[in-house]
Amino acid sequence: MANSSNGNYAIKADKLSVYYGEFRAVREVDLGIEPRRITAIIGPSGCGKSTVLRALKSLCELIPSVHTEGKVVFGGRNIYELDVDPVEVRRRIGMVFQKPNPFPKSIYENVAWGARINGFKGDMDELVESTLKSAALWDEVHDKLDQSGTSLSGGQQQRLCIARAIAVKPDIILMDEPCSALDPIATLRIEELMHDLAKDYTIIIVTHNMQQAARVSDFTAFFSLSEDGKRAGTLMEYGETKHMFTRPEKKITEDYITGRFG
Amino acid sequence: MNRKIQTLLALLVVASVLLAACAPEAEPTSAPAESTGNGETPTIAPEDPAGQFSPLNVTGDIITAGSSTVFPLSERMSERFRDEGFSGNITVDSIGSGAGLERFCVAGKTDIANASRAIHEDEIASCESIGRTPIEFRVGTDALAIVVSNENDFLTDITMEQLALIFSTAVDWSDVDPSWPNEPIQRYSPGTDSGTYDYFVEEVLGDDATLLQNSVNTQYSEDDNVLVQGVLGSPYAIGYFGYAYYQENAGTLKILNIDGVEPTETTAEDGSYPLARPLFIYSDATIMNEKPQVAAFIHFYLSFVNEEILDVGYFPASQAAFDTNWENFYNALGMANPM
Amino acid sequence: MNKTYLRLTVRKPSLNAPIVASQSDPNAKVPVQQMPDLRRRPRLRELTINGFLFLCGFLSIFITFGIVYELGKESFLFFRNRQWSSTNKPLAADINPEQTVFEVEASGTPLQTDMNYRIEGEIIHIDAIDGTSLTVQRGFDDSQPAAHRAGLTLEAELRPNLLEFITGTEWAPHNGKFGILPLLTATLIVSGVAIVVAVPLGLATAVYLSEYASPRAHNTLKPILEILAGVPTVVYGFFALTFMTPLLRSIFGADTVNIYNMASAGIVIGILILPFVSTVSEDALSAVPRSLREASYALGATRLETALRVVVPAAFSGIAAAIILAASRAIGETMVVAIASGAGPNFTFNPFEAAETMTGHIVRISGGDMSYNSVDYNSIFAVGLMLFVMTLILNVISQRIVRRFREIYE
Repeated sequence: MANSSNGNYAIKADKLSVYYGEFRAVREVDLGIEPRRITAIIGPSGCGKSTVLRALKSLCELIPSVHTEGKVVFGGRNIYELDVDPVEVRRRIGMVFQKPNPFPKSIYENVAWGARINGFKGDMDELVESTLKSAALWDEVHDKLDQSGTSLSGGQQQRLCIARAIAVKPDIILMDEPCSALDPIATLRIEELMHDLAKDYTIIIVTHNMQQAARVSDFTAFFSLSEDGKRAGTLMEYGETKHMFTRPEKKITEDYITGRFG
Repeated sequence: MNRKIQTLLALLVVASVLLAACAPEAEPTSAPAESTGNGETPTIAPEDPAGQFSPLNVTGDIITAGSSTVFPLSERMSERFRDEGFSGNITVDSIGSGAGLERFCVAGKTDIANASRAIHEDEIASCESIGRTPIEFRVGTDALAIVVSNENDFLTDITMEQLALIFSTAVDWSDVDPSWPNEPIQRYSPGTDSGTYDYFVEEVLGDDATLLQNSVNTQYSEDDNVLVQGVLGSPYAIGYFGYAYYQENAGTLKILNIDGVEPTETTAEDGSYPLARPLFIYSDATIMNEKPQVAAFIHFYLSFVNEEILDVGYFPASQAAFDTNWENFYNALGMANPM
Repeated sequence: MNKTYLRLTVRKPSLNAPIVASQSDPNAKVPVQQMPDLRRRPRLRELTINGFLFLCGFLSIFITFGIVYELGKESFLFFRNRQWSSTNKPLAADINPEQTVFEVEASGTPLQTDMNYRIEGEIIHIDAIDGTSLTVQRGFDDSQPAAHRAGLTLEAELRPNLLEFITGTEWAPHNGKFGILPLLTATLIVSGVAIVVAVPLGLATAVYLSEYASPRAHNTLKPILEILAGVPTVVYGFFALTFMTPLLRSIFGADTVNIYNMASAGIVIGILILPFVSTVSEDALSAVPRSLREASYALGATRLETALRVVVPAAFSGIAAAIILAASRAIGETMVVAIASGAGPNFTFNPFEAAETMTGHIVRISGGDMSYNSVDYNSIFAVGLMLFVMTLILNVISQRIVRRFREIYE
């Protein structure tokens, strides 16, 4: 596995496997994520990208039939150890979902809610304002903070969801195809926002869009089915984006990024 | 699928059993013959050598309706009539004396009206307007029981005046007698459609129903068990209903003497107990002639009612009353009274 | 009908035409190009079923309007027509049509001067009363003076009016007291108690079933709850009288709690409507998309925080509708109150006292052998209309809430 790391990862998967019942969706993945960089996860449909992302923040275990093997090391601990509180892990690792899913609450509450349940004691108005500014949404919504979050446009909703995620000051933000439901202009705004956020946050983004991965990410991980196509969730290649998109090491990677399959 | 339905059914059964377990257990009925003391009045039946009135020799429908007080008695007599071989249908509807007489005299749909009061003149007029002449048969005597709970320790005897106050304007017991507790009176009365209510209003309240209607804290029910339960519920409750219902609950209820007279067979019979009333069945000569089964049933009723009446909870009518009954019976059929 | 059928049969051969043509002409080298038959086809089955479905819908609406019309008409007549109530006061002697002074018996309800009374069809107006002797105007209000026999009883005229109906605190139609408040407060107290019992329990059950229960527990519990909804209400009634009432009496004391009381009926009705609250609420909770729950968990919310502060608010409109529907069910519940809550109007706010609700009153009055056209009988239509108006208002509120707060999730 090509890797230009200095060994100080923000989060690291270590022989991580995820099973849906009997089916192994992710197999023995080793993946170290560089802090304050954008890492893109690409790969064909059904290769286990989203599952890896969810496994990084203890979201998989909410589904009764799912279990994991291996380790995810975050903050010096394996988050799957019994005495690690998944709620605390989830709080420190934010997530933005494929479809915008703001709460049916006011815009203000959408941002404030996460902070409130996590015991935020400071000035809430200030937090909401600064967060919405970071999410490049403040100018559009500052005069209608009491309107429902669901009344916004798709792109605005997604930025609201990003604001909601960063309001709790996470260490890492996971994004699961955050632009797939958006038009090109809204997509561009989100990509710009990701660049700004990368100054303060480690970002992992799952994307279907090769151009997007090439545009926004510093590192790229390519997941695929195994060569025989039978086994899902194998990490094929991982390295710097410019390296992978110009000189991929494996034939299968090259085939995928040049659009020959997937 | 089948299994699911089976499980559901099983659950239903379990649920109903559980609920049934919570349902009230029937109060054991005390043997009425014991509580009334005196032995059975001997049966006074005239001979019927031709078997004209035998339940075996008649058939067809007999339709009766009326007083809820007479109902258990008529029901008992009709059961026995069937047991002894009557093959037709007898219906006994419990709809109240007034409604029963209305059905008999206005609608003309019944053969026999049960009544816990004598027929009114206007009812006789209605009857005559449809070509019926009501014939009265006295079948027994009912006494109204004024009851309180056994936990009531301040009442054993009551005057009619006090009773009128209790069931009208008085709010607390102390309003009736200062020595009684300063607690609200809880009244339980049969519903306004029942003959018992009419009779009580007539006898106790001078026929002024508004007095009782305007009283506070009064519960009405056509179901005497509701009244029994209510009276049992508090030492400050008082109610009235037929003596039969008192007998069924004699262990827990306390019956009050009125004007110093204890309600017994003797006092009800001789009229010294102020709240005793006669029980009647009414029929008509034409019906009795055209429908021999009706005549047979009345003959049977008059012959054997005294064997059943104490058991049902009422007092037998006097010998004189029965003499009149038989007189009327044979007159209606145009026969000589064999007695 | 006939015409369309004919067209159907005529069209058939044309469908088979190409096959017949190719068979009859085996030498044809190039098959004749057939145009697709695009003519509009009459679909008889569709039409019939359509019509049937429309009729079903129409029938139910028609019946509803019929009920409302009948209720409204009877109530209108009740307030417009004068009502008559027997005084049990009989004439002491026969009277002739001209006689304006006559005697009545002492028994029965006392008469009042300046009031109208009716003997048979004739209306008289009493000008003066001296003991048992009356001075009257005969043939009042265009009625015909006639001779009347001794023993006939006088009926008093009662005039119910709408204002008294809504504000009066005494209900005794027989005596001309037409205040519905005692029945109304009893109804509100009983349903209030039921709601207080059913909402927390039902909501908790719904949250458990939707957010916590394993599929196995869910599949076991839900049918049981639905069985609860299928228990006959008369069973609940006796459950109230023979279990709940003694329980309340042992807790609060037999002196405080009447044997028939509103609290007991209310609690049991609460249990009765619990399945309505819980199943409808659970449906609303389950309809909240998983993505909202995930968003909440992703922010570090616990299961409880997610359930109570994200899912429940998101399902608010459904839950509110469930509660209001359950409330109208509680208001309309009859058997439990008829058995356990009391059988006489009583203007009180103490839930431990006996008081008759509107439904209980209707069932008691109509259960006896009440003759048509008596004032008690006519009055129950007005009570029924009041009941209808109450549940209608609740349903309208429920519609409003659903429309106002509904979140549409794909």
